[in-house]
Amino acid sequence: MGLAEVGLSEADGRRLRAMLMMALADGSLRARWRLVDASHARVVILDAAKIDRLPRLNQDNRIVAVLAGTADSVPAGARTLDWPIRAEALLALLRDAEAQAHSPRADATSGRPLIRLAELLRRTNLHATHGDAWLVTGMTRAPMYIAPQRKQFFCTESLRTLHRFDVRNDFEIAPIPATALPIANERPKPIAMLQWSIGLLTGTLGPLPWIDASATLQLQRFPEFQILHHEPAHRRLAAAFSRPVAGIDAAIEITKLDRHAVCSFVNGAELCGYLRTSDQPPSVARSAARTTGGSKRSLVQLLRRALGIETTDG
Amino acid sequence: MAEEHKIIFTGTMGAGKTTAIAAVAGKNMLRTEAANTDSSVAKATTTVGFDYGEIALPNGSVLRLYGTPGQARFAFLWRILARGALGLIVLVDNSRPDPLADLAMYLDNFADLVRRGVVVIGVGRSDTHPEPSLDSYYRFLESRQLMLPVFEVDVRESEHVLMMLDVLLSMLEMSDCEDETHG
Ligand SMILES: Nc1nc2c(ncn2[C@@H]2O[C@H](COP(=O)(O)OP(=O)(O)O)[C@@H](O)[C@H]2O)c(=O)[nH]1
Ligand SMILES: [Mg+2]
Repeated sequence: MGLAEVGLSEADGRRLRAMLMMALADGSLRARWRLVDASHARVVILDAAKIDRLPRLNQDNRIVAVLAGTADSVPAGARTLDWPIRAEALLALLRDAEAQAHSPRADATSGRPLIRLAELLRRTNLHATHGDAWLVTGMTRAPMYIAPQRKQFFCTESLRTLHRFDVRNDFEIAPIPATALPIANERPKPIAMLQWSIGLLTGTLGPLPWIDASATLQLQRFPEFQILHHEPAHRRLAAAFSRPVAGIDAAIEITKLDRHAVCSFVNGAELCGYLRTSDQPPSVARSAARTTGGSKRSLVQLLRRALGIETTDG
Repeated sequence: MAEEHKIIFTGTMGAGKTTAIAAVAGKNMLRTEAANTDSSVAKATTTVGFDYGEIALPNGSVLRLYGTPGQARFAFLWRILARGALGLIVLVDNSRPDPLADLAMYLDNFADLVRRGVVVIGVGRSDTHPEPSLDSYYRFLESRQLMLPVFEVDVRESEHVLMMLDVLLSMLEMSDCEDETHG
């Protein structure tokens, strides 16, 4: 996640960087924090005199901390940070931002059960999944049973009907004993199909709450397109994310696809456990791909058409 | 001027190259006596036999699909074919004794296309031979610092073949390299 400073003295800036490096080195933080531009930061530490240099102060999920002593009054929504900055105070700030990023957005009055279901599905990728099973009703006409331990789900209906589900609608998620699963009379499906479909559905809500939209993201494996309901655009997105991509906006720029398509793909891949944040810098040659890509892109479109492959554009 | 574009299918004998090319080229497919203009390749076809399918493009140019002979002794031919190719599909037969070693051999011999990232790996017969798993394939690629698409496919399903081709085209579209698109 990103930390930024605006208007601090050179000495304070240096101290901030040193404290951040120490905190990262001793493992006191969950996220891989780095110093970024204020417009991409989750946490901004600010000299109040430079408040006009901070783009959109009250942005979603952002914590702004004003250095005490630099302002008589603190702007609404901002916190204060004592000067000189102490490591514990900085840590507390960053941990708060991490906690915020891992819980559903405060302003998300819609999509709540959907986000809960997404969190639940993501946890099934962890090795230590508990024995519980889940029953989801009200999403599909047929009940949906989730068996995390078996990495399967049961639903007699095609997941295609899920793609028509209105994310504002409510539905029920209830824990059930594993013995209540319809193992004897229904054919199980790989849980990746459900993870992927729910991920796509959440795309209208933006990136999942715990995804840092400005982090560098990369696929660690490709979605299994031969079994997943997907659109041609998702194949292009997978190709783009086979290398490190510097966040959602960068993906939009590289693929020329809209935010909804990118967020759907990222969320789907994330729920399947196929996405990781990357330490590698996004490849510099990307800009070259953007400028020389025109003729290549038109050739690819031509080949797709000749092969009879459905396309989303061109 | 009519342009030529080529995509290569490689893999061990029986991995499904002929089936895959037939799935997309249909009746515009030749075996052994490829109708092509590259004389060095033409000579080789008379002795080794490989698959060739072509698809006419609306602008008068043509997409050529080549299935290489699988054995390592034909590596010289692979290099000729790889020149100017848009991309490579490696078909791996999971029922073979060491599918990862098979894959390694093709990745080494098509190093140029691998470096450009225009490669898709299709693992066949994973229904009856689930090992090595997809996890193993991705771990293997990661040990070589590669991130390439791997799919469990059945090339008898033309949808699977088209999906691999589309992902390959997407890899090409997103690759950094200068256009190397003129066969
Ligand atoms: N069961 C099964 N058979 C396959 C699969 N892929 C290819 N085959 C069959 O394997 C045989 C050999 O395929 P072929 O295309 O001639 O392989 P080539 O030597 O690479 O050209 C054909 O009968 C195919 O139908 C697969 O995934 N599963
Ligand atoms: Mg053959």
